[in-house]
Amino acid sequence: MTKARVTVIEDDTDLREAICVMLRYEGYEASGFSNAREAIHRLEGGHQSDVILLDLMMPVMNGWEFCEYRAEATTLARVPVIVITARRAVTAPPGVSDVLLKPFDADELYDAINKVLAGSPVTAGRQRQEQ
Amino acid sequence: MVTIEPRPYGADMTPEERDALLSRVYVVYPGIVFYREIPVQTVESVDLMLERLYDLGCQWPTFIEVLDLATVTRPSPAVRATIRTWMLRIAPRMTQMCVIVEKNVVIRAVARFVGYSMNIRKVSFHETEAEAIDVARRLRA
Amino acid sequence: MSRGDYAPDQDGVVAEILRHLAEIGAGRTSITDDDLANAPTDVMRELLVGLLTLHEDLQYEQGLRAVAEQQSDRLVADLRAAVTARDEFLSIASHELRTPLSTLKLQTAGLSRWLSQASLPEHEPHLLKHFAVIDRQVARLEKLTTELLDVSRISSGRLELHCEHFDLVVLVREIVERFRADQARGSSSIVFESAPSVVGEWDPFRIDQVASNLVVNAIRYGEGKPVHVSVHAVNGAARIIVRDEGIGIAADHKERIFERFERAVSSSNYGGLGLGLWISRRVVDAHDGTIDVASEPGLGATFTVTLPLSMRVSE
Repeated sequence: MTKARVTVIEDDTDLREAICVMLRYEGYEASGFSNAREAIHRLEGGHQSDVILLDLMMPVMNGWEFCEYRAEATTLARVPVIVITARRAVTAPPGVSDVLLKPFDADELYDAINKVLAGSPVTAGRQRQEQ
Repeated sequence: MVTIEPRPYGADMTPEERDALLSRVYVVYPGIVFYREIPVQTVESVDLMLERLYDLGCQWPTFIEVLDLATVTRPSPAVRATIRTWMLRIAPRMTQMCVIVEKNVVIRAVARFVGYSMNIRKVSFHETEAEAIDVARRLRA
Repeated sequence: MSRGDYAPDQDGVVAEILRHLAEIGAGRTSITDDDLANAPTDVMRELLVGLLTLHEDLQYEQGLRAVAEQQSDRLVADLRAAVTARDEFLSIASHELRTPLSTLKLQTAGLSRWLSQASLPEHEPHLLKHFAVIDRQVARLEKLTTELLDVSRISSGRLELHCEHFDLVVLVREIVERFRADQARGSSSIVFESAPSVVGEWDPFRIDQVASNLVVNAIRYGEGKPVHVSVHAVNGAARIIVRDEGIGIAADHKERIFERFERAVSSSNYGGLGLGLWISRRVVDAHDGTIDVASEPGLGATFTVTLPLSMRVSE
């Protein structure tokens, strides 16, 4: 089975790299972007992704603005989003599949991704194709 | 000694002026303190001179004040408030206040009004300094 | 108009004086210095002086009071602004701290994973011990930032409960197990005793916070002696009791320990922010419950949390 592809959108460099390293240990393909605009540009430009990990508090374009954009964008709308945030009480933007609270550990990260991928029509379809 | 003029002497008074003010409060006889008020009082001048009155008067268990208001003009509310505060401390030790007002009816009314609001036990009004001191000595004897 | 038994001039004086008294009572006067100079008799002059002096004194007092009120209002506004600013800062600070904590957690997990893959048997036990210490510190940092955030949130009235139906006995037993597992050999033992089940509606995250805080304190101040934890239903309410046999709390401290930043011992002896009991009381209050302490110095302390079985208001 092809490895699932995770896109990490997080402006804090250390955290973004730590997430990518842990994802690769677990066998995922991980690409990190430090700002949401660049991520949109690449995702719409052909970069494939099965799930997006999205920080909410970012400069230039924050997580809420990304989700607003994604709601109207056909390519992006098909990729499930997991929000990562320090704020517990925040209401997730519309279209978000799950919320991971910082600081999360590696197991919480894997569980959240696996849960979302299991329920996602895109990856389910890919899995069926490969069987 | 500098002459005190009919103008306000406030926080900007010189040391010489300060001395001149203080020299107007003195003991005339044992147990009798003379206080010659200045024409235009300020909170600072009243503070200074009443403190002196208090220090001098408290040498005895009780004392009499002879207060010369002959040359004063009507004091402001702030000055009256300062006088009241001091008098609350002084009045219990002061058996009598002999006030020289000459024929100044306006100042007599102010003195009476202020006196009533300060629980001063006895106030008498006099037309001359000699009369006031004489009465004070007789009371003290 | 009747003039009573007065002579005409007396009546005029009476009328004028009464008029002036009425005006002064209403906060104004028509007496001028000219009136004083031109008064027909000395009697009138003295009376008018007295009235004018009264009016001036009243206005002066009023002015002083207005200034004092203004200053007091300004002070209150300043205080409120300062408290809001402080709470906002606490909130921002504790959120900001969570990102580096995230990185720490993930990186230590990554390191230990790499270590086990690299297979260095002679080094592994040492390194694992180091990682265990690091993990504990990260957990402590996490707890401290949560406390900071809770303080600012609760202070600004933003404590929200997310109530769920669950068994309190199960929750507290899990907490006890967690502490037993964390404890190094030789420190306080925890004795747990309970009813078979105590079911109700509470916020599980918050009740966990309260019970954990009580157990932490019992261990911390327990001088190594056993800690007793019990859960029962009493008179239609749930009751959690955490008892230690340690240093105890002096009578005049018993209420103060529930205040913010207050600790019954000096900060040089024990660490922590001193917020746990304050947060616990706020959480218990929010559940309409009570938290009390009974203690004698040298004889330990017993904390009792009483919670109604559900938050629903009975009609």
